Amino acid sequence: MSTQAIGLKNFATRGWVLLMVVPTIAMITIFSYYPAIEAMRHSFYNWDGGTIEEFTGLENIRLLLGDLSLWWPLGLSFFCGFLSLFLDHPSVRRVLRGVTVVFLAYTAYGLYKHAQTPAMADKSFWPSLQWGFPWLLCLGYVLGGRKAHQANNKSVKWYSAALLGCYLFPLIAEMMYLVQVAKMGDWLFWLSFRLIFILVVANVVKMLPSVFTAICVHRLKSEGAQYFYRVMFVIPMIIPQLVGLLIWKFFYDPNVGPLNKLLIITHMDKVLIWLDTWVLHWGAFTEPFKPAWLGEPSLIIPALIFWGFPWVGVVGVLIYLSGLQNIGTEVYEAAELDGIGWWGKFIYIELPLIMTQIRLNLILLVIGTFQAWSFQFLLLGSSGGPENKGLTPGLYMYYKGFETQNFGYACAVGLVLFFIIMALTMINQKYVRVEK
Amino acid sequence: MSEVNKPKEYIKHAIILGVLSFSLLPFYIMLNISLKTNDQFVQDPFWPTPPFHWENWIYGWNLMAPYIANSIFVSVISVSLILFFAMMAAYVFARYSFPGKGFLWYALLGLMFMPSVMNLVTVFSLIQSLGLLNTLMGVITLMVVGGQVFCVFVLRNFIEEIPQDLFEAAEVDGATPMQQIFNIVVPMSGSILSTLAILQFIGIWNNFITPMIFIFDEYKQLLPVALMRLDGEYVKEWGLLMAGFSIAAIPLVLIFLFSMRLFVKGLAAGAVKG
Repeated sequence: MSTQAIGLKNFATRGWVLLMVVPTIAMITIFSYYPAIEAMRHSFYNWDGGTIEEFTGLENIRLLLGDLSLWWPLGLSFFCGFLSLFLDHPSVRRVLRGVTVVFLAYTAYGLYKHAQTPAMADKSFWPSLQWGFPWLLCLGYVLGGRKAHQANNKSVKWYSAALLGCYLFPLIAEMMYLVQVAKMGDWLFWLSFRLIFILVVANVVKMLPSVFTAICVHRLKSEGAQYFYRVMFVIPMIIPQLVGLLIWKFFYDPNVGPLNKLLIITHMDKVLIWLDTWVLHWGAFTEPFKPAWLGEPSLIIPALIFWGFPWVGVVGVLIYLSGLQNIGTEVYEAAELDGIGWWGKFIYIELPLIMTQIRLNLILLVIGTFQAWSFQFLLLGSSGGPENKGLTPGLYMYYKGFETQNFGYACAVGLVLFFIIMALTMINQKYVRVEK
Repeated sequence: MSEVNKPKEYIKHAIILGVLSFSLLPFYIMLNISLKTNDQFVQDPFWPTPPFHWENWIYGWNLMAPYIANSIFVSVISVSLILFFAMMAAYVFARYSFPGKGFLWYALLGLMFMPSVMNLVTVFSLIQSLGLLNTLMGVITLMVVGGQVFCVFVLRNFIEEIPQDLFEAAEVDGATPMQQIFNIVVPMSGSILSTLAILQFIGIWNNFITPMIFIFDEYKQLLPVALMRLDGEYVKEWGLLMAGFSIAAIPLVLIFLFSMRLFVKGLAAGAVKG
């Protein structure tokens, strides 16, 4: 649809129309962008939310991440690497890549120096490994430059997978190194990221049942049954989220919770006790069988993963179903004539059609998981339960801000989180395109 | 052919029913326990036991009614404001081009990816300095801001697909943009508007972070926080607790009863676009 232009010429007659956008824009400016900028500014302050407000420079971030001299080259190389992903102009890319290599070399040097300190000398395995990664990363960048020539090649998929590996493996290893060797910065913060990575993997796996359920409903022959199930899948939505949460919490209750009773009735308790005694050594399952799923440090993460079994998201199912509706019956008939089985139909017909929705869900899910904290807060309290096993970065931020009145530090946590989520979004934009 | 496929159909039905029963299990647990006293609950937590204690529900209603009223007040006002503002903004974005439009649009969309936890601390101090702390007005403001972006996004796509002729004809007749919105866009977008309204309503109804942080007075508190407090009590009467939960679900049940058909379809339509 063509739009009507409002410019300088007709501003006098038409300009007032723009007033209609003002409420929305004003609101997001005041209540979203202004606080965001304020939060970034206060990352560099010692701030208790009220009277105390003094500029402390990078102190908060140093407390959070540890020795910054190790981080800034890495951060810059990240930055340049991302820029080079987005700029199509070859010469700019080449320059950026050159800069990246320099920073990486510096990182390697810094880490090497760091590893030479007496405290680190006994962990000689890491620095030697460390030397290899930047070069692998450089290889990735160099390979990246030749991507254009191979665009028509069949092997381009494998090639990009290898390229991604070249990027990701060193980066992850480098992260692990930084966390492992230095044990620097805020240990709780790193612990919260460990939980996040576990939860992201778990949540991605937990997406699958919704997909399969949607496909099951879609493949039913009778329209009536399809409609019936759709309505049935809406019903769980009428339970307020919080009530659902609290009911699951009740489900996990050590004394009266149905889960423990169910396990005892089905004699799974014996299996779990055996497993704990001989394999896991958690000390969580003992006779008499009354594990506190949300009170035992070693059980918190399994309990969070098991949460919401069988993991069928109601909204998810309905969204996938709407994507599947576009498949005509003749496609299935043709497939059947070709002798394609149920798995083949899934791979060749259904999956491609709902791929857009799956990707979108995946993006939202990953970003959502990184931001999540209310769930953990409700179940485990503001410190993330015993031994902080359920602490997420968001929850840590809440804890630092609202429990210990260390708002500046909380803002710094938010800033780091913000950059990580930005990076994830950018990777998503690059590798996982979503058509609107 | 149908003869051959019958076992297969049964398998599918079995899988779906299995999944459904698990999804509905919390619902069952809630209703079942809400009619028990603690003694009955200890004896048999899984199956209904005959003397049903409906007085739990009366107790739950007395306990929850003020919070439900607060929640309805906040949700209804927020949803209407969200839709009103979002409609105006979406209309301008869809129909007019002006300098800086692209920038504003991306500024809006960017919010979808902004980690909201980051703002929590500074929003708190902002609300405090505006004097909106511990008022329902402050909560409504935050809810309206939060719901805005998604609605503008969906509505702009929708308005762009309305035939241009309609607007041109209205303009020839001298209709102002506001009149165009109310006489053309609103009647045509009934299903999408109500879907958005319901989604926003559920979102606000479920939001417990905002009231928890921004409201201190007990009598102003919203439903989710009240439920949380109820659950946090030390000595638990499970029957009363579950009755309270059930009562809390009633407003949503009513909404769904009236809009079920629309919602099942509308969500599908909205999802494809969004």
